[in-house]
Amino acid sequence: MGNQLELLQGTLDMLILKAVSLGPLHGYGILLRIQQISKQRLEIQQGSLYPALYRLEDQGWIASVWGESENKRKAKYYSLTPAGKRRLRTEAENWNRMADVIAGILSTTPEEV
Amino acid sequence: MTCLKRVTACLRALLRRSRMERDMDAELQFHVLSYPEDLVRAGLGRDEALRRARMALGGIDRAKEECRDVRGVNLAEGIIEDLRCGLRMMCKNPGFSAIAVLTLALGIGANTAIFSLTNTVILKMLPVPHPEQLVYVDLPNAEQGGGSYGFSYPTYCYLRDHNSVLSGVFAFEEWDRVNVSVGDEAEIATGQIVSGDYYSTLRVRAEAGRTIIPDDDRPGQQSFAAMISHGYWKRRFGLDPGIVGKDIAINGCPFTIVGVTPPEFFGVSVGKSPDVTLPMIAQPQVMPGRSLLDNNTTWWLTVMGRLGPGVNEEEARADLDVSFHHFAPSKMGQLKIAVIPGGRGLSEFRDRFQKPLLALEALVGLVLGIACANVAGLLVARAAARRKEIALRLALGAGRGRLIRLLLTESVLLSGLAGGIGLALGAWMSRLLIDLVSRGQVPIWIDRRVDGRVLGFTAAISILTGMLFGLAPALRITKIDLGPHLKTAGRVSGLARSRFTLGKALVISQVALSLLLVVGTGLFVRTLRNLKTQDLGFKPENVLTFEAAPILIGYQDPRNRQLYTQMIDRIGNVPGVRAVTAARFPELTRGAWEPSITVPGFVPASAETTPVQANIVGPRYFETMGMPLLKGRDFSEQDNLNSQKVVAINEATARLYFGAADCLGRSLSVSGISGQMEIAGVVSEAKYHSLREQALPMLFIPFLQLPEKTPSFLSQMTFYVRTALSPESLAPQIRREVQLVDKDLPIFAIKTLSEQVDESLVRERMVATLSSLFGLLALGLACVGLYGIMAYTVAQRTNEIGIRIALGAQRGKVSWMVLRETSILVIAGIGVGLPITLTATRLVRGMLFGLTSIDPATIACSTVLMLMVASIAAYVPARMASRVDPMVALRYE
Repeated sequence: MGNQLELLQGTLDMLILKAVSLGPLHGYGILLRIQQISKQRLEIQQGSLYPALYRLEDQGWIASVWGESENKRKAKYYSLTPAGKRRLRTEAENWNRMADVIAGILSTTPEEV
Repeated sequence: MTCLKRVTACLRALLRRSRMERDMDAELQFHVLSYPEDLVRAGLGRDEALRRARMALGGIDRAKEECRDVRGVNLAEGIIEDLRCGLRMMCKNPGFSAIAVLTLALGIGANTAIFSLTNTVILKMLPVPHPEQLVYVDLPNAEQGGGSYGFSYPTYCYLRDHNSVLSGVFAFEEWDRVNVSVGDEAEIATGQIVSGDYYSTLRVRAEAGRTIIPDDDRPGQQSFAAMISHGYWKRRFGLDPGIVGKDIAINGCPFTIVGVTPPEFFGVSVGKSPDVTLPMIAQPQVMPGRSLLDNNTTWWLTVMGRLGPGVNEEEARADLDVSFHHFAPSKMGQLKIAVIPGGRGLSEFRDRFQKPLLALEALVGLVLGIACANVAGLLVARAAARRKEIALRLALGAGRGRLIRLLLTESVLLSGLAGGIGLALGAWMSRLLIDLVSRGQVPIWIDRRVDGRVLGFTAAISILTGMLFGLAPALRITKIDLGPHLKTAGRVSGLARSRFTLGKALVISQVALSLLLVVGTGLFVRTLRNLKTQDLGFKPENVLTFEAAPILIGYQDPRNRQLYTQMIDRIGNVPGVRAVTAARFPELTRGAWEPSITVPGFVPASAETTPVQANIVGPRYFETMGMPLLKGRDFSEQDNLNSQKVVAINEATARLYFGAADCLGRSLSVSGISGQMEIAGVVSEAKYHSLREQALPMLFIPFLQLPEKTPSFLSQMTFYVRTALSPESLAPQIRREVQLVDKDLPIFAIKTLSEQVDESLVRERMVATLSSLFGLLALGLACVGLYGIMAYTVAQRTNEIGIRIALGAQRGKVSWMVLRETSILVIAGIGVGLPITLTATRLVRGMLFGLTSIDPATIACSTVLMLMVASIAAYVPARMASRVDPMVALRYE
């Protein structure tokens, strides 16, 4: 699967929200989608997925509903709530801002100090 | 996520636990099945796929555990689990649990009892809407040691009509006794007279009927309105539903009951509950001969008001002061109005009992502290036995915090149970206390219902107690080294010895606190003894006393005098009576008259003269009371309106006005009585108001010589009858003689003078009795604590003792070793306790009499007592030690 980047803390929540924003999914599906849209460069620790899902649901950013999967099994589908949408936007903005700052620091040449 | 949201989610999770579990199971199951399928589709073998899947998911149970954690269920479930474990532990050691719970219940119960009394008397607000807006309008007496004046009725009316700061203002006065007749039956009750806006200002509604309104207080009433209290409705009328509109007579004057006040309302004086309330307009009829409604020289009313919106006390004070000085006569001109918060009511009871109650609170807190130390010691001893269990739990992965929580839960469970028992115990004890305290002239009325605040207090101290005594042992025990404890089957002597400093510290603190309690008890008991054994100046043995109040049935001067004279005559003729007399102001009560005395030729040395008080007495007063005459003679029936006016004075008055010179035959004049009065006798000093007073100057005037129409001095009298034998046996006969004079005359407060003396000491007796009880309790607990730790130490060191004996040590020496250790503990405890005691007792200096707070005799005796207790506690362990069989000890590891 190539070099797996280590996931920074706190970014898992953001990724889950993004994955769910593209359409309602069950837990396993979220895993697959994240893998897919990261073009297989990112693989989530399976054990940390469900606690994160429960936490996000408790905080009201995703909502769950029981449904049927493609192969007729019972599965819980998660979808993004309006609050979750706002949260995703804020988190994404923070992430981009942070990335800018760090990029700026890292590209400092000795002369600029 | 907010705290509240967390808690509700937690509760929700707990309640729907099984459904949640099923959901979680189903969801994870889906995952566990889907992932391997994909792997198989990707080409892996089925077993390999399953293995990979399991590894990747990291163990379903662990995932579930983490999910549960997120949901917040773990904390709540953990606590429930701890509670169950604690209960099991308690049932496994019933003896230990019983002792611990009992010890704590006693401590908590005592605290609850005292706090409940303190709450009712000192803390509670009046049961009216917005009590914090109520204020007292006070007229403090700046000069002689405090106290305040009341208001005259016209001044009150002026203040009421001309102020802009109070939304309502009322005046009232309470009476200890009024005569209430329903039909033909007359009975003494308590009462108060109020202005028309009393109930509207307090915003109290009637439970039945209506309240007294300002219209009831206007002149020209056809029939006067009266209200009664709920308690009186129950007691005298049996909750008669036809109570509204009933006709009664108060002091002979007809009233109609218009309503009943609610059960929790008792007026504005804590400790009193007037049975009947009348409007001010009825005053002249109810107190015949003295109309005070237009009288601006009698200052008798208490005034209270409700602050208007946005007004504070200072503004109210300034406004009222201006109005007051506009209207007040010049004599009162130098007084200034004060405005005091009145939300808690004024209370004579509170003023008298505040200090003793606070002292008792401190004592009882100490007892609880000792009980805690005791139980902590028990826990520590038992913890040693649980070492293996704890070590096992730790080894299996329990966090230290989790274990401490488990042990604390057990402690709180113990103390919670003790708190429940303590609450019941405390309710019972506080009832006893109230009974003890209300035996007196006027029964004290205290709301006995359990208050929410008291319940909260009990719950709080139960939990705090549990944490307090549980924390130290819990912290200690979870710090242990796992290895040695899992391996050895029993005790490791070397480790145990150094380990026990916590237990020793607990015992030392117990001894220190007990010392404080015992010294306190000694001080209070000796104070009581000093008060009782001092020379009273009169002889209280074999004297019967009772009060008669003919004014309540409409007597006026001169019928009063005839009545009293006849009563004295008839009672004097009863066989067994040696002497009989009367007095307007009874012994050991607060009442007195302070006239101005003018002695010709006497110039006061300074502006500050000690006020001389006066009493109006009957013939042979000093003989009956047993007050020794130093010079001159006693009063007799010959001292009446036709003979030379005479007075008697006591030593202090003689010293004040005449120094060492002879004063018999000299004259003086008393304000309010025309003409000069001759000094006919000098008596020795006595206690007149309280047993703590010193040398009050006193003047005695025979009632037969009072000028005509001085109503208030003859309105009632207290009679004193000196009998040859037991006073109580003659009481029925005396009663009969009085009834032969006038069958309707109300007489009450029949008791012996010795009982009166005892009653005046009710506070000291209460404190002495209770502190003795607490002191005994504390000693018992300290003794048990000492015994416990010494027994434990001996048991721990059985090995060592066995070796010593085997090597030739004598049994006596071994016992001595144990005794020595105990003494060291006790001496350390005394050493710690002594400085604390010396500092703490200074706080109660004001309550003592005849001794200082660091009285050496008391401290020495207490110390000796502690040492004796120590030797008793050490006796059994010492004998155990001396009886150790070396063979058994050495074999038993």
